[in-house]
Amino acid sequence: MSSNAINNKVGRRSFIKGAAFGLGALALGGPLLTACGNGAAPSAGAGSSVVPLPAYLPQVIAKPDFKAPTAGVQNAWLRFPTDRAITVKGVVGSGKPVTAMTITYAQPPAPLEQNAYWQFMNKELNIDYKPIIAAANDFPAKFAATMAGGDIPDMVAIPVFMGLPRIPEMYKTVFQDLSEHLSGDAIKEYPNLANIDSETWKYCRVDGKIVGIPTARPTVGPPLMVRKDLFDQLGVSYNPKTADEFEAMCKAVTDPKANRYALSAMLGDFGTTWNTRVFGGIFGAPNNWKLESDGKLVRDIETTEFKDTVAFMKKLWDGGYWHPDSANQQVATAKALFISGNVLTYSNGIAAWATESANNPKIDIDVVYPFGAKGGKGATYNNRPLFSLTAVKKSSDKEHTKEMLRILNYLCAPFGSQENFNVSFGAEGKNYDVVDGVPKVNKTGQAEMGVSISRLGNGPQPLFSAIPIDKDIKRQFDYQVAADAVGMSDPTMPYWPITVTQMTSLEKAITSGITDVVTGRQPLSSLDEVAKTWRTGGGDELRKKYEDAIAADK
Amino acid sequence: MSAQTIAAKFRVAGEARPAWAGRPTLWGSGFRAIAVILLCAIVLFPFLIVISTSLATQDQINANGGFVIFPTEISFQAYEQIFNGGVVTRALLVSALVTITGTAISLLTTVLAAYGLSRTGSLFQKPLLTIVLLTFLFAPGIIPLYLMVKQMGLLNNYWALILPVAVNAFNLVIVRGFFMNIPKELMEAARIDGAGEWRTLFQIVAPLSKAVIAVVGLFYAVSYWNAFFSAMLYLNDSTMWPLQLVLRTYVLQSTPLVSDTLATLPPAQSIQMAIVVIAVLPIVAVYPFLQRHMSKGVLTGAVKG
Amino acid sequence: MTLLASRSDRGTASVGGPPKSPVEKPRRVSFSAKLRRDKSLIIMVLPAVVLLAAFVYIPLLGNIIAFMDYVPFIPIEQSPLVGLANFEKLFGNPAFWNALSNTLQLTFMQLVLFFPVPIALALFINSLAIPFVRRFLQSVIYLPHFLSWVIVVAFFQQILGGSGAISQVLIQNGGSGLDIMTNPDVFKILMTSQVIWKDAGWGTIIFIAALAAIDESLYESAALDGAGVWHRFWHVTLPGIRPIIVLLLILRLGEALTVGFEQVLLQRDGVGPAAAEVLDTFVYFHGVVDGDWGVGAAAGLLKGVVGLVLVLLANKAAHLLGEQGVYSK
Repeated sequence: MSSNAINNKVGRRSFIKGAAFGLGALALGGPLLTACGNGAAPSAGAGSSVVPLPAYLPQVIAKPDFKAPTAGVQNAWLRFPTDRAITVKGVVGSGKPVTAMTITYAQPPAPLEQNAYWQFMNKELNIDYKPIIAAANDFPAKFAATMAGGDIPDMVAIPVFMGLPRIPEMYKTVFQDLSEHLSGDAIKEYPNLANIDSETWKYCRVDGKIVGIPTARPTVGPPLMVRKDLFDQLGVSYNPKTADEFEAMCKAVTDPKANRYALSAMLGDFGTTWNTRVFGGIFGAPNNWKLESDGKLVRDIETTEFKDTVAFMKKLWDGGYWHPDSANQQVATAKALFISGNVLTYSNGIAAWATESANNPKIDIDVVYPFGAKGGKGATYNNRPLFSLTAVKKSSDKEHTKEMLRILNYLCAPFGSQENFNVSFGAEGKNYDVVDGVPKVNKTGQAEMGVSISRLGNGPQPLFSAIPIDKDIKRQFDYQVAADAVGMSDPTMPYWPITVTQMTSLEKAITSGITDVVTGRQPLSSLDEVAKTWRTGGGDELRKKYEDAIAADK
Repeated sequence: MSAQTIAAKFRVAGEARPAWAGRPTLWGSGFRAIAVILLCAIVLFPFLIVISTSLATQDQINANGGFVIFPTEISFQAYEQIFNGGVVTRALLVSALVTITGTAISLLTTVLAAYGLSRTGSLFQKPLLTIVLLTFLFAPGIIPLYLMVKQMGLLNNYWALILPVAVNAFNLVIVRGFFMNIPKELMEAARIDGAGEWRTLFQIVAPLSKAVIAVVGLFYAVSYWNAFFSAMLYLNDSTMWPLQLVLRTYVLQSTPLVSDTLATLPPAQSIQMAIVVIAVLPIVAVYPFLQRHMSKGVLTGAVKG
Repeated sequence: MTLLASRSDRGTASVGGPPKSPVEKPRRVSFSAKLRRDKSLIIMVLPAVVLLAAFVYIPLLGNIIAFMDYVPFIPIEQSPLVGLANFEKLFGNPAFWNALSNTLQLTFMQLVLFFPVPIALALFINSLAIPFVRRFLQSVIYLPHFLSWVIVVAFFQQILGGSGAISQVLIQNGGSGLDIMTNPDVFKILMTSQVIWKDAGWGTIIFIAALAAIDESLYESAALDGAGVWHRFWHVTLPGIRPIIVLLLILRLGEALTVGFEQVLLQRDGVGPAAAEVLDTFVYFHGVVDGDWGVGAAAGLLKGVVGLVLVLLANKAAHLLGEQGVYSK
């Protein structure tokens, strides 16, 4: 009924009729600098020098219960450290208003007058914080509109996984080049920022210049979690060493009559993910891209290992081991099915493990260790070490930029420091309660933390749960060590600002193609067509850009 | 005639069965009864589930795979969590204010314009009607509209939620259609009495069109009540957000695939359902009042004599 | 006013026919005379026109980027003009034609299967004798409209999904589960049934209002003339709501290319874009998410033009049938 459209008028209709920009008749306050002509993103280092990465000066704040042997593993703590060191001395802000745009995954905060957390952070940082928050689905539109409007916030936390277009140009015209403040030894002025390792800083360079502060995240790829309690109950082991053993494992636990299935896919950023990042590692397919010795890049869909991966996923589908709604399963539903025991495995980011263990004490979560399809070691896919990159508004006022960096320095304080505690737990007596010596964020705290100031900057993340789950932490730590040992990185990930038009659509076409094969709508050979469409639709162009960028960085 | 007398007795806005309708047959009544029961079931059963799930405990929801028909124990935990902190309460008030103001303005401009465009042969009628109709087919893009709103100084202002959408061509055309079907005799009578266009509109046409005004008012009100996108775009201050936008953040909270250690607790199914209940309740409360204006026989006898 | 009179004497008392022109045929009236006569009418239309001019027409100028390679965050004058390149990109993309085809199929299916349902429901409600029952049904039938698509799809999945209620029963009895929600061949029917379930009730509101506006005395007269239930329906009720039906039909055609957005977004991965992609989601992914604003604007212009053509054609057809439609000559 057309009345549908009534209710959706401005929302849907102008939304979907595409955005246009510019009103010639009206005077616009846009930035005065020109963009790079045809909008092609220049590769890093094209004609410009590459600025040295910031020095890495790790701080020892609190001794972890399990110390990470390699940089790719997280340090683990069982309890919140009691002695909290102060890492930030002196006044941070200048008392002025600071606007910042971030994604939010929380509910909107109570207004400032009733928000103890907000007031507390304002006092700690000596600023008047004015957040502009947007839910993940809304972020692309909000970001585009705000940038077009010309009122650039003081800081913008740009998610690196969204494929937002024209980022390099934006960094040139609208955001501040932070190289002189952060490159090399200059970063000593911000000890908490220097605590972030160099690998992560690689992701913060555009065109060779340092342009933002990362929100650090663990790099271990998504594990395949299992319901240990249910597997034990069924007497099935979840430690397959070959693909055939894995299939047998699935068969042993699947029983449609009992509404119990081994696996479920779910909807990711680009469509249905059939735990591809787990199976790809098993079959040795590249993590998105592989860098050959001659400097050429090969995309995963162009390899035979990838075809093997998809063929295996299809075999599992034909066997009936995937939950029937897999092709269209929301993440929340997949998780609910895992918790209710209708699906015995669940794959999400590594941090989801701790969250789910903590929130669901009645179930027991373990993991499938990496293995190779034919019995080898297998591989895991490493993730990007950051969630977003916080850019600072372009300003000729050096003091202003330094103030922003000091704020970010505070927010990036390492786990175990007083500042990190302040950001995570908020105002004493209001946002958290101390139960048996363990601080726990209460309902008020949750409501007030929607301010999302913590999304502007994060130091290295700990493997830790506020709700004590010692057994699970140890399990996760051990898994991380094993996974990192066989971790495979995507060589193009540091160059995330490089995009081509239709990039998201290209990725979506690939995931659709995979889904078609797995569910049997198309034969395995159709993957060749998918690869070809990707290549001609922009994939080759993207390949060239990445190759140039990687070469320039050598 | 006796039939007419009886009919006159029953001419109470269609309340009782009019004499001309004849006696109902057994088959007819039986079929009708079944149909009514089926329709009510199809429509109400989902809401029963929604309400039940919103009042159920997480354990029972887990056990039932997401939806609960009859909660074994009632828990208001979902509602407590949503109303905690006062954000939702405030958002409710914002939505109510914007809806009432917006609907009033929309109805006024729409009814006026619909009447102004309903008199065939009036000056500029064609071009003005075209101007209105074209907006039905072509809508501006997000960013130009955003820039316009910004230019008008309406960013972070509640008027940004009302003015750009105050006039809806679809609704306008419907009202105009109803106006044009009002018997000409009535308009002629008014004109002979010396009434100008304004009096004709407010004293004759509008009272006769209560049904369509109520309906279009409902359409506008629901549109304002459900709006979230314009609030997301134009209101940078999240403490100003209306209800639907706030509730949306609850729905979109589920742990992102990229997985983030700082993500807060994902919402229980009960919260999602409680959200639906909260969003629908005001409309359900208001609707019966509108229904009164959509009853039969408004025009009865108006033309006679 | 007899039954026969109401048919041939269209426009006198029945609400069903087009209005007759006023008794005095206006002779050549001068412009200034017209202005004086219609001053109030023009003033009445003004507020709406001003609002639309400001918030629709001026921003519509921004659609110029349909002809540009638009880059956000720099002044529009600096984005290069590329003529029809965006449209070529659009037409050259087979996914576009696929989306267009799906959209048209869905529109047609919904016109045939969905459009009559609210009318039938409204007539049914109207025919109920007991006022209490009628009012009750009227006040609940619109409720599903307020369930978000997320919930509607979840409900359908709970019942019709591969592990939903019906599938469970089948599996328990040795069969295999249903494959309705992930089957591309039945997807369009599935979508239409979802729309019927969600919105048919809401659609009855306007028809109930239209039915309420029919002069009661017409029924009386018809009954007195000996017309039975069917006759009264055909000669009083239907003509009474015919104008609004035609109006809504024309408006619906104007939106022919706007079908299901959120509904498709939620389910397209389950059946694949070949079966599910519609114009709106296509534009969303290629225009907004990809940041290719120029293509998005081009598609928007295309939709508007096609809608305009359809409205004009449908309006003409309505005139031929004796209705005044949306836009009378």
